[in-house]
Amino acid sequence: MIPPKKSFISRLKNIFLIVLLIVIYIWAFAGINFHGLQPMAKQIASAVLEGFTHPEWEFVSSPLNRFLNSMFDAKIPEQYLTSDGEDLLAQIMQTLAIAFLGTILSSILAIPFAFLAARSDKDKSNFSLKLKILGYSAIFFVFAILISFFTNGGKFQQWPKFWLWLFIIEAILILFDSLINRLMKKSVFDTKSYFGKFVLTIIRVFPEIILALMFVKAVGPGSFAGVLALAVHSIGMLGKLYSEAIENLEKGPNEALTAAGGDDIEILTFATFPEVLPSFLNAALYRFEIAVRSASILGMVGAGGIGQNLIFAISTRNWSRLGIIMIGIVLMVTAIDFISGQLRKRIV
Amino acid sequence: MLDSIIEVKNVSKIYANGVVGLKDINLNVKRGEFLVIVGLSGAGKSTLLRALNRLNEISDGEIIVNGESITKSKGKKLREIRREIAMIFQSFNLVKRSSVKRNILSGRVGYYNSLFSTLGLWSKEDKERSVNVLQRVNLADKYYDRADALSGGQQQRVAIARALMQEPKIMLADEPTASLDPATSVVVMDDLLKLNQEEGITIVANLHSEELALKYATRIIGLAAAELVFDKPVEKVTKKDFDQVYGRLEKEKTSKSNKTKKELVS
Amino acid sequence: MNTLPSRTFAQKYHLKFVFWLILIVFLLLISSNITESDLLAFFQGDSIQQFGVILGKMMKPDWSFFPRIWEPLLETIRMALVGTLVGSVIAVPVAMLSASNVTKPAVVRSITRFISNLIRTLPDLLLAAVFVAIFGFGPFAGILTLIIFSFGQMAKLLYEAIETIDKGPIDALETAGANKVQVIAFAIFPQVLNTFLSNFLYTFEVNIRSSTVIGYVGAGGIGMLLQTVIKMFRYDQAGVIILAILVIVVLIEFLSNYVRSKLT
Repeated sequence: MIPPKKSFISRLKNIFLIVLLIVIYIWAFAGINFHGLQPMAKQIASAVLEGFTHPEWEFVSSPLNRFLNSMFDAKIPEQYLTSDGEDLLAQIMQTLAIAFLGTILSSILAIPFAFLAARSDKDKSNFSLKLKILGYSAIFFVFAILISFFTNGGKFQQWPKFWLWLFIIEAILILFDSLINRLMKKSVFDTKSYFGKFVLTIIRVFPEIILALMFVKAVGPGSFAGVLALAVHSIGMLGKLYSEAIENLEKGPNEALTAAGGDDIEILTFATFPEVLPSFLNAALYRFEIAVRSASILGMVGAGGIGQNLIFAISTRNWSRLGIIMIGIVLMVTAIDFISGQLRKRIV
Repeated sequence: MLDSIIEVKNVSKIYANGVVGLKDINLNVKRGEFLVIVGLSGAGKSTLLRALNRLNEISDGEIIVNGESITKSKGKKLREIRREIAMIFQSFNLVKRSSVKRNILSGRVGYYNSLFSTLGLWSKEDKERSVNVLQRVNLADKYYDRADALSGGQQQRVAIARALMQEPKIMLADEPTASLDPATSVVVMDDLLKLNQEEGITIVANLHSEELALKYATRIIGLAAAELVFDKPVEKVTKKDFDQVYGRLEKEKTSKSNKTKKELVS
Repeated sequence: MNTLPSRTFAQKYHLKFVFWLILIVFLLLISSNITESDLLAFFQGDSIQQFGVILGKMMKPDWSFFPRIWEPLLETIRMALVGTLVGSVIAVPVAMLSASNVTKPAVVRSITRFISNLIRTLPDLLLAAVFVAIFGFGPFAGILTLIIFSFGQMAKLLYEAIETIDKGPIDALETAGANKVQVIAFAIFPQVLNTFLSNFLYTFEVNIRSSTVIGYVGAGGIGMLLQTVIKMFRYDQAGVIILAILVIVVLIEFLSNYVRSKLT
């Protein structure tokens, strides 16, 4: 038996899509303008390759160089002995520190955003639930203050105003939303969730390098600008991942605590928090892997880390130094991916 | 009137999407009863049970627990009423990543200020009680284990232990055996029966299985399509009653007998 | 056994938890020290005002600049399209060589996997900077970067997809006497086609996002224009560009998500 042929329309649709794709690609390939292709490319490429095969090992660590000179009489030149803090190991440590601090900061800052962006339970989108959400973000608002207190060596003078504003906007939106719910007797929009998702998308898509540049202008060049840029930029992705974890949360344990007569804080600490914690940790570790890659390039705009050495090596055409830096970055990223992967395996 | 511990008066529930969950239910549960609710899934069993401790809100009517209206209570008062009503669930609802100890102690939160419970400042008596309740379900050797390391039956018994921490007068059981195999189901039901007979805890349970219902209940009520179709002591429940609940007769007959039964009930 | 079990010393005092807590606090202190982080200084001094000034200028975009961003924006899309396609095509044979149910010798698999793993460790801007140094400013360096990035990503996603396919059709063809090429064409290809398309779109999304920034080191596209205007402190013009990037990225993510949800 011969099966019936596909309908003419569906075949036409496929043909149309394929033609469309071909047209798009013809447009893409034809439109590329290979202007400014440098005539010396071949020579430079071979010089770069030469540099990669002869990396500048002396750049790795000055203390190590001094040690080798004194113990084995390695005769490493003077310029490599005193560059403490400017050598590869120190710069890699700085890169990791930027990534770590940025991720820790954003993994906490992302929590209120996540609760903001998470869809509320359809059946329960009543006023008290919204107040509850407001209460949660108030708790994390306090956390944000504490963290800024902690990372400032115990000095405390000013409120993180931005968080206060966010909190106020959230409160207004929630009130507005409940008003609509009251009047129309049903939940039409999840204003709170839409607003949260919108903010998170903007943060996520805003180019990281521009953010770093803005922070460099604000606090001056150095790794602190990098930390701030990472901390803010990571909120976009972490908030999204967190809010998905909250939306997928099993409601059961929460209900069990409610049934036992627990109040909102007890429900949060005994059921909600232990249930979402593994997903939060997993997301934060994943984001840390990405942050390490980002931190190694933020230096290109002066935001600290190995990136500044990299851009300097390129502009001075010091290919053997570029070689050792790239080896360093590859090893660093591989090691962090491995460690983080192992930790994530143990969390789940 | 004094011996009824739960009074359900003209309770109706209509969901936001217009689906009727409960239609004008009247019910008195007496102190010390083992009441079983039977019915098809979607008949409103869970809705009714979860309305009793207000996990679900009702649209109309009133529920009085131990002389106090739970449907009109708020905040602290509501939590205090809930403290008297323990609940176990089909999916156990333990916090899987926490220890058995922490899970059981969390059953006691109704007696604590949230500051103390959050910081884990449990009194010595309550710590002893937590060991004690676990011994009553024969699982004391699992005290420090993580909840997800236990089998399904063990998790349900830990959930019972957590419920006992409330020192409840009433125990609600929402399909407690639905995710367990037959042998384990009997163990869990026996635990509930023991609590009912030895400590006089009133038990209200949803059950799928006719067999278990007949074996353990002192009274059975049947729900079909959001309505109460029969309400009888277990001795008087006949096969016909189950047949109409599970819709095994012709439709006309069912609806007819529904009407007559309803008249009888009211 | 209905008695309390005894706990080890480590369990009793939650040593594991204490260890992690101390480790994290220690790392926090070290990192704050290395990076000279002072959040308070950011919120106190004129730092946050400075930040606010730039943000404020960006918030007042110079719309008359809009016509000038069309060409670079289209170039960005072209770069992402070409980079994704070429990288993905190169990734196909490499993915085949990395998949254990296609390639039997373990040596070949580990070599190809090592290469694609190595490539994925390199940040896109770094590659772009190196290619710009070699080939000069312009989209060519950008396209090369995106090709390499897409290659690394697609090779991994694709070989994982190939390894999880149903083994039945392969066995059936092999018993029917099919050769390697026939097995790939009739058993493997139909099974991974949808996953391939879905991953292709995902990679395209990522490429659109990174093609907007790699221009910053001179690798063509809208990023290059962004760098030029920022060098001239024209934050109002930068605002237009960033808004355009936001719109294009969100639009393409939306489209790609829609098509991907249809594919699976």
